[in-house]
Amino acid sequence: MKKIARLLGITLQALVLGILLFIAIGQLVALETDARIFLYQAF
Amino acid sequence: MEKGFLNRWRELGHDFLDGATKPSLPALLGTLGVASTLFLLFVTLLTPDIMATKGYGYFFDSPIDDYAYLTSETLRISKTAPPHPSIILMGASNIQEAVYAKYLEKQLQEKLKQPITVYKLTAGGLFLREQICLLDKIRNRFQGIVVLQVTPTRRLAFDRGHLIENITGHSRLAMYCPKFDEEMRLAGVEPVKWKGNYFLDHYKFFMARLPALLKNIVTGPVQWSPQNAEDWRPPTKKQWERSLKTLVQWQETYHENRDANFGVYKRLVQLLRENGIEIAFLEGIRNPAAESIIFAKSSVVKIYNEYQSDVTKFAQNMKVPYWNLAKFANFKPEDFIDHIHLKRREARHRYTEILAIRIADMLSKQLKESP
Repeated sequence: MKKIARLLGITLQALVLGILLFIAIGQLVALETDARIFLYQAF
Repeated sequence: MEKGFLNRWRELGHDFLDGATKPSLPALLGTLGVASTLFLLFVTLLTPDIMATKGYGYFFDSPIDDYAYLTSETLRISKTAPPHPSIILMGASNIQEAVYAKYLEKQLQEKLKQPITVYKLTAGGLFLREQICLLDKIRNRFQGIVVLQVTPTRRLAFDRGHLIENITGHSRLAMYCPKFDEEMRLAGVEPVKWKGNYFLDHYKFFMARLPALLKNIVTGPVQWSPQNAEDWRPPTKKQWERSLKTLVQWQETYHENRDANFGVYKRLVQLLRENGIEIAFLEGIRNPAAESIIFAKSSVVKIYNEYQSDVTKFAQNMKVPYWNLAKFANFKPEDFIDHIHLKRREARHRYTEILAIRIADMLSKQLKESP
């Protein structure tokens, strides 16, 4: 049981950090390649 | 007994928290594994079909993310255009703010007594050449009329540097459009070399919207907002003057770009006619207060009259109706938020009703002629 509880904790950590890592790399790529969202501004 | 049970759960909770919060090799490998899996999922599962169906609205950064909307909506029409005649309104922010698509649909259904669907494919700053991309995608399934905004102010549509900087350099639209690539070649711009993977080919489009995707997975898909001018701040004096300047700027390069401009329109009409789709040109609208200032100069009036004569002749030659409906709508300066964008609901209703009469007339003729 102890091992399972620890494994569940590690899984949660990996999921959260994995998603954040993916988004962070994506944001870095977006920044480096000047990827942007064109939102219309009249002025 | 009860105490022992509670202690056991407490210990398990500690172990769980330990695993969740302390750095460890398995957690590091798991993190890299999750990130790599996500990347692989995007590469393998993300397709135009997903964007048009289950993914619709999830990649919108906000309700005013026009280009994400245009991508999803165009792909949706290309997959699920209805069997009955439909209307596509296409243009930039000018027409986007001027016409209520749902009201137009209701008006047309009442007039023609049959199901009609109205689609709005408009976006602030949409390039004429990008419109070819949208129409290239929908032309195989769509049937009906495309109402295309025409305006002399598309000066930048022919600026090579601007095309590279704003279109090929960015994935404004996440779509493959062979006709658009041809158009870019004609404009002297080397089109993007596609790798064949939807996600990798349009990675800029998706990367810029990753945080929004995460948020939308939690909160649900975003609904596009077709009209926004009511919420805009009125222009300052400086902004008003600058916008008047842009209204007359097109004159500087009108003669230089005239043939290329009408060339794009001609290819566009031919492209649609090949697929049995009819087209109507709709002239953009302007604030009468702005008109009274810019048309005070005789040089502006002269070149504007020239444009009017050119576009009318062109439309006649191509057998395409050209509608300049602003004069029938009796617009007042207070109907506008700035030089070209309508903000008042009543004015939009009025303009939409006038447009509905023209479209209904054209569509009823088309329906009578079709077997």
